Amino acid sequence: MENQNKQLQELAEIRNLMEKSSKFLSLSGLSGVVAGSVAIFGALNVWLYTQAGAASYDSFYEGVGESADIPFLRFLVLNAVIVLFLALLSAWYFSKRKAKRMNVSLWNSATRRMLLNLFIPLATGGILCLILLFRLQLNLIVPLMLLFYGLALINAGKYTENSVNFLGLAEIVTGLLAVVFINQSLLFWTLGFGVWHVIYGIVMYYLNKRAW
Amino acid sequence: MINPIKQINKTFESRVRLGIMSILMVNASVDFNALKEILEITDGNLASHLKALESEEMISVSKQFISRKPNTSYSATDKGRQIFTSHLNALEILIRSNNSKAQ
Repeated sequence: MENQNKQLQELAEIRNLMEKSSKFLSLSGLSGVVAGSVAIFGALNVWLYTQAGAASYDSFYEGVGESADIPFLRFLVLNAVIVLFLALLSAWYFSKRKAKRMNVSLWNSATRRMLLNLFIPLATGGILCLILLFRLQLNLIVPLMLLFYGLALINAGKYTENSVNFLGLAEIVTGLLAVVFINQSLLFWTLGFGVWHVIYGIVMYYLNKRAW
Repeated sequence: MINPIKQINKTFESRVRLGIMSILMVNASVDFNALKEILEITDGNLASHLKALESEEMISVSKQFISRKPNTSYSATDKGRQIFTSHLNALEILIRSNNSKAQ
């Protein structure tokens, strides 16, 4: 019996080392909560802007090419850049904190592999959205952001916590729905980048806490 | 039937050697400092176990310079992979047979 315990312990240790050395596990649920909240505030900001009567979201989407509402577009882009910056900052900060607590370095080969696999689809989608933006073909930008982000998460999911795959699937479904209900893009954007991140972050934070 | 005890490899009685092989099974190549960090052991301890595995031809060593600093990285050889896999299989058989005896 004692022998068997030793063998089981040996197997558990092998599994643990294989995972620890090949996967990025410093992702913190808290960064999901913060990044999601930032996204919700960003979307709220846009909504208030449209409510103030300065711009109409529906006509904005129909406005392609010459008829596009340029000041509103500038406001949207600036708002999006600030949201992206704050979200990345929180991901970096909370991952660093968790890595420190787990006693591993944040920048190791598992991290590099995960980021490479995340950023190949993500950068493709980002560049595509920028091209559409410069051509003022605006209506598909939000769904494409959601779809490429979801695909990027699933691609990176092989090299980090498996639960990331569920977030990726949720983003893809949200992205497809955003194409169907194209005039409600802002709502789906808030759902995908805001609400899902917050829910995912809270669930992950408590699951990890229990595991420790 | 082959005796599973025979397949339990003596080399892997050490926790560190078992750990090194586990890590190298899932990573193409890992450098010395990364191994040290994951296994949480001292330089000397790690070096001696790496030497033992190298002399059994279970791992291969490659040395190079990365921005003028020497960097040593290790990978599992085909022989090492094969031995580690049969070690795992033997562990599995032992645990299974213990389970069926207990029932």
